[in-house]
Amino acid sequence: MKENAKAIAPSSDDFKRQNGIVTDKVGNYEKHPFFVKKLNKANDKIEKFGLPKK
Amino acid sequence: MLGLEKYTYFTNFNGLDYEFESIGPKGIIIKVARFSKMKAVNTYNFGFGDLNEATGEIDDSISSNNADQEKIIGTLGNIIVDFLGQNISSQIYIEGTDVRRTRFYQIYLNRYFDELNKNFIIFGFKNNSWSSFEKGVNYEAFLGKRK
Repeated sequence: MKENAKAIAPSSDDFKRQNGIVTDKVGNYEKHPFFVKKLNKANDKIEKFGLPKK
Repeated sequence: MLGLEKYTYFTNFNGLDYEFESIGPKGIIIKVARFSKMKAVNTYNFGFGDLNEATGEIDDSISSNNADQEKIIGTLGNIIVDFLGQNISSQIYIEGTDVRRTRFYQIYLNRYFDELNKNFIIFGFKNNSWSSFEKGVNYEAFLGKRK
């Protein structure tokens, strides 16, 4: 995960969005256990109780 | 956003993962945020925590005490606005890992609700149901989207 620190040193290939800087140096955390656990918990709650009524 | 100072933050090309550095007395702490696509249509779960570079673990149960809480909130607010700017019809679900962390979100939603309410619809989850967010009410989770 040390490579994530590279995110703080954008190169010329990176470009600025409205506020943030887009760079491929930011990791993809889709499968990280921390976020998977949070996602599963959130999905369970929404499946059980639904979303707010419009 | 919200008139708060913010850190420069970074995102990748899928626009779902964000990173920034908290800088303070405890040194540099890498903060990671992610919008995970949920089963519900156009709904993303927002997660946020400290990255332990040595182990790769992410933890939001600890308080890093880096004397920059307001700046972190300002950064998270900007990240959420940035995401919703790119995903206009999406909504975001937020729930802390524990009651303390959910309260952390609650405190700042209370404080900045009047300004947030101009551009966002916010709901709170309590007692197994959703309702429009009201200041001073303690919720278990939150859901927000652009007006």
